[in-house]
Amino acid sequence: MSLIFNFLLSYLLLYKYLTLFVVAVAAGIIVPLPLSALTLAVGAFSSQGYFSFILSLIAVAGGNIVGDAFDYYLAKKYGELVVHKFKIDQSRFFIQLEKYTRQKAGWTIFITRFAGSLDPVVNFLSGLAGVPFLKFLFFDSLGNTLEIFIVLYAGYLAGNYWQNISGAIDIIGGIIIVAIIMYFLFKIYGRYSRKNPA
Amino acid sequence: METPSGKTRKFIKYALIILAAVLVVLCAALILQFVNLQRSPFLRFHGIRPPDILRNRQPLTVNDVNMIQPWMTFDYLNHIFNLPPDYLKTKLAVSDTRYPRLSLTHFIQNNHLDSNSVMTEVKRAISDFLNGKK
Repeated sequence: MSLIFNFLLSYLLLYKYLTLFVVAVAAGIIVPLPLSALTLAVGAFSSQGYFSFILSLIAVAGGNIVGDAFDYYLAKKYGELVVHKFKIDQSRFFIQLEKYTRQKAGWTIFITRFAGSLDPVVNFLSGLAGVPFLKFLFFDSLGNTLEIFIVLYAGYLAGNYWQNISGAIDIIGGIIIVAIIMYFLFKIYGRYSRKNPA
Repeated sequence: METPSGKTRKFIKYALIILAAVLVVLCAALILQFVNLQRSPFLRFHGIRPPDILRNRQPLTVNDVNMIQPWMTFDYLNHIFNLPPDYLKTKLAVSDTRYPRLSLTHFIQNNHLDSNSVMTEVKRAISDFLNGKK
């Protein structure tokens, strides 16, 4: 296990829900922290009676939603300025991605909550594409709560052996990320092929 | 000459091939993880059945002392092994006022102790307690 993860585990045992909330907010924004592994550990701690399952779910989901909303707000307020300054808005790929996010906002936001590192990208895109905040909040809360519940419950079932399944959870997360990126690329490839047949 | 859309299509095609390869590697890694899990006490029974799940949540015994890690706090160890609150404090002569809200790592670092010997001492102290309880 990494040094950062061990450090976080110590603080998790010391400050419980506060650590959990702060890490979830940071991970929701963009800081690459091992939130899934930490959530799995908390699930196991709750099976040992050291944490409350419900309070843990509220702390992680709440923190993640706050972090995601912060990304959305930043993108909404300053996104266009940055995109225009760096001429990202001239890229056809970016235009397609923004259009797709706007059209399939709910599904995109919901599904990317299961792919940790894609989560902030879609938060920024949603803010940029002008997805209504309440719609963003609804699908973000739904996806986050479900994803965190699944990981917490896996930790709860694993109990004293949670460290044995931590690697498998990371790999499953990786598979979901790759599958989502492939899905988006297939969609974009299909559109290019339709518009410009070889 | 290749058009920009042709280039983009080619780029996406290569990206998809690379991602497919990554996906295969990840799936293989996941299968390996499950093979290893089946050898561990967690999934030794070719699947999770309710009695096994209950076993995973039973209080820890003397056989579990090897699970102790430096990131664990004294408070957590007291809780999971059902130790009396001051048992480890006395056994390890902990003078830090933050006990039991103190991790083993901090205890080792603050007192400039050898990590391995402290871990061995903690495991022995807990084993002694659990054996004595029997």
